[in-house]
Order: sequence, then C-alpha cells, then structure tokens
Amino acid sequence: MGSAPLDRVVRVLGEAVGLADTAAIGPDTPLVGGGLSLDSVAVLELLVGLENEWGVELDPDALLEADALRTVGTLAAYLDGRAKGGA
Amino acid sequence: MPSGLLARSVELFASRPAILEGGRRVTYAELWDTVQASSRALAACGVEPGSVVALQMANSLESVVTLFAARGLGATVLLLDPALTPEDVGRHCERAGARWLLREGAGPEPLGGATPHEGGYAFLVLSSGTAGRPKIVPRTPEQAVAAVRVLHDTVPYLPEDRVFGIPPFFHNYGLYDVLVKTLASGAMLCLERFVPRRAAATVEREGITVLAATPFMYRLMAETRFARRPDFSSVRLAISAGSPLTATVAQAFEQQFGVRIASLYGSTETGPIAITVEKGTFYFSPRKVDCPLFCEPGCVGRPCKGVEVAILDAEGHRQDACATGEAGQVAVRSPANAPCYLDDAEASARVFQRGAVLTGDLGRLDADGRLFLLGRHRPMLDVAGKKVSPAEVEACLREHPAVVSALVRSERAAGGGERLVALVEAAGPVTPLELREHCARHLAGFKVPRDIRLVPSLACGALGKSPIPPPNASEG
Repeated sequence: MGSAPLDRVVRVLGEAVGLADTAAIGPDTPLVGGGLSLDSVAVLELLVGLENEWGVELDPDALLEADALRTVGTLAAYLDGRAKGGA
Repeated sequence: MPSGLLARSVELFASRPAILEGGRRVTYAELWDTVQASSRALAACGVEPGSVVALQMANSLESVVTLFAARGLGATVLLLDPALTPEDVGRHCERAGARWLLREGAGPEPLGGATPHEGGYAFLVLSSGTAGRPKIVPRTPEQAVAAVRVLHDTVPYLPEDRVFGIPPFFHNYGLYDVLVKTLASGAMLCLERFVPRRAAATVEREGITVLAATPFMYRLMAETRFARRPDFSSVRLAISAGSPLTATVAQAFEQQFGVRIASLYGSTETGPIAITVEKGTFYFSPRKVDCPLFCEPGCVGRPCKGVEVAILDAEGHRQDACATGEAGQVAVRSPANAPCYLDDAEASARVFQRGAVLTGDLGRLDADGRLFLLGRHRPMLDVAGKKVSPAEVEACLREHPAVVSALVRSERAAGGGERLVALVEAAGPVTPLELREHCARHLAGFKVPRDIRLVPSLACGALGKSPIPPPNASEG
C-alpha cells in the first residue's frame, strides 16, 4: 500500500523470518555475517517472504551477485529497482 | 559395509546414472572409479581401517565420493554440519578421536591424531539434543545397513527412481534414508542446494519420482507462488522427516502440487520408527505410494517393518498399550538401534535399556497399531497421589479449537497439596470454564487442571518458539 521498500523488508523480516525485535532494524543493519546474522534457513524464509510481498521471482545467487544481501538498505534498494522494471 | 552396498549397485547398474549434479550425470561405474581414486588418495595420507575421519561438507558429488572412499578403507566417518564453527568442529573431532578433517575442495587436514577407534563404527552422527552438549551416535556397519533396510523394507526405492536428495547427509535422514538407500537401490540421486523455486522446477524437469525433504522445505515450496505451477505428477513418494510435519504444511503442499506427504518418524538413536503409508500396499511397484494423512493430530503412522514400538507406563514397564490406549513414553526395539552414545555413559544408561531405546517422546498406540505422538515425555506430576502426564493434558487442551498452546504444571495449593495448573494461550474467545469442560470430556477427572489461566503469550525467544516442546517427530 505504497509503504517504503525499507518498511516492507522490515515487515517481511518480522512476519516471514519471525524476528521479534524489528524496531531496531535500520537501513544499515547487516543481514548476514553480522547484524541480524541470518543463517541459511532464515535467508530462504526471507526470500520466499519477499517474493510474495513484491510479487517477483528472486534467485539467491542473483541477490549475492548484486550485493543485495549486504544490508537491509541494499536489499530494499534492489527490490525497489526490480519493482520499477530494472533487471 | 555401506560401501559394499554401493559395490553391489555398481555390479548391477554400472551404466545407469547414480548422481545428477548441476546438469552432470555420473554413472555407477564412473562413481565407483572416482571413489577408488579418492580412496587411494586418502590411504596415501595414512587413513586406514579404524581411523576416524570427520566429513564437513554440504551435499555434493564430492561429499558422496569422499564418504564412500573413507568407508571403503574401513574408516569411521564422523558427519558434521558445514555451518558449525571451527570451535565446535574441533570439540566434536576431539571427542570422536578424528585424525583428519575433510572439507570441500581441500585435501585431508590432519588433526590431533588419536589412535584407531575400538568400536569399528561405520558412521558417527551428532544428535541435536534438546539440552546439553550434542550426543555422538555411532553405528556399526551392520547397524548402518539395518538403518537403510528398515525403511527399504517398508517403502523401497526402485532402480527406476529419481530421488531428490535434499536433506543434509550429516543427519540420519539424509545419510541412511536418502543417500545410502538411493545408491543401494540403483536409483539416481539428484543433488542441488535447496532453493524452493529451483527445487520445484527440478522436480518437473528431471521427472523426480521420490522427493525427500524436511517440513521446513515443504513449507517454503508450498508458500512459493508460481506463474505456472510446476508439474509434480512424476512424484510417487514424498517423504518428510527431521521435525514434526504439521497438517497445515501437509495440506498446503498437497493443495499446491497435488502430492500427499508421507511423514516419517524416527530419531538418531533408533533410525526410522514409523511412517504414514497405508498398510498392506504392494510397495514393490513403481507406482504412487498410498499415504493417507491419518487426519488425526499427532498420528505418525504405523511402525516400519522390523521395528517394535512399545508404550511404557509410569514405572517404565511395558504396558499392553493396544488394550489400554494409555499414553506413555515411546520405547523402540529395532535392528537399526544404535548401541549407545559414543562418550556419555550416563546418558547411554538412561536411553539404551535392555536392547530398546527410550525415545523421550510421549505417545500412545491405537487398536489399529497406529502411533500417536502427544509431546515430549516429562516426569509425571503427582496430584494427590495420582500420576498425571503434563504433556497428555497439554495435548488435550491444544485440541480445543481456540487454544494455540498450553503449559501444564503442578503448583502448591494454599492448603499444602499439589494441584494441576494450566497456562493457556488462546486465539479466540474462550473462558477457563469452557476449557475445564473440554478437558473433563476427554480426560479422567484427576487430570483436569484445577486452575486454568489464560495468558497473552506463551512464546519466548527471538524466533517466537513456544516453550512447549512439540512432538519430536524427527528422523535425526
């Protein structure tokens, strides 16, 4: 409903991944290897949650290649780009 | 011995595909040659019969080759999760007496250097226990073959099968029920890193006939939306193990792909215990396996062939369960039972008793021989001299449509005696009185909690996990 990409990513992190404390998540919060430290299981949950939220098909290798999984902000920017017809 | 199982398949099915990885097909003959070369390389490093080698790899052709190469030399293989930290790996290797660590793309890394193992074990698998340090569960070559045999005799794979082997090989399920069972059957094993959308596409593209996955994987495949839903009509058997399969996930998956999942219940200590496939089906035909969901909550099907399941009473004696239908701890006698834990005599004495394994699960058998899991077996609560199983009362509460979860314990009443108290998290409008009536309809009077309290949430922890342990429907 027109909410910012970042808010949508944070919402998916709360709902699909089940993170309890999403209030502290910001654009610079790392997703893997620090910050949220998502493991491979959580990354897959995130992937399916984001696909359903944005209505796109996502490939984890493509996300890595685009460096989209670095922080919550880079992921939101990547998805925003996809939604606007990039890639 | 599992390398003997592979040798037999190589003889019978030399030119047929054994492994499919990244579009590359490897025949049984090619696999055998690669295994022999790898064996020679390991032997040159000093690996010999009785050596313990630790294998820390994701499912891949390389992990399959290395595993069979080490077994071919008579080494004991300790299987480790690639996600473990170096500290964990070091600890487990030391406990197991591992002399080499084998990781992807690297030669054998020498470790501390222990003397050859006395047990002559084939495999060492970590049991992710609910508390304390993980247990190391060993199996002799004979027990390893039995672990494959139990499921094979219940639902065999056929040489024509194309098995999608997604569960990790460092657990019983992936090791015995997927990897060794597939290659012992002469079938083809398809290996691929699990990504839900890709996995579904692979099922259609490769005409997968046997899908082996965990409830988590089935859930993600069911939640994935497809512009065009992949065709799963080639799948004749879909097995779930590793954690309890909920009806919600099973139904969502069936709705999406038209395939009913067979739920396999087992443990690292016992191997396969029970599975929800129909009794008396003639399984030795390449057709769909009939697996009713058994609709009732907690049902994990009937015991696998050769496996004996007993329900123990409060004193630990075997009860005539079919007659009583009473709940008690599930005990399992199986040729696939491990003999003990590797280095924990105290826990071994608790779990391995008189040739049976006490699973720690609370269950009951119905008159039809079907096993139901109610939760984890916990010490009985003593209420006015009568023994009450908290898990049984919780299971009853959870069957009420408004209840999300429940925790039952005993508290000291004002008068000094113990009384039964239930904390209940409800999703809909319900009163404690209604819940008391619900319990009274299904339980003996002394098992009905005196005090039922509605609480906003019983969840705790970052991932919102319930503190109530669910039925441990997991094949290691």
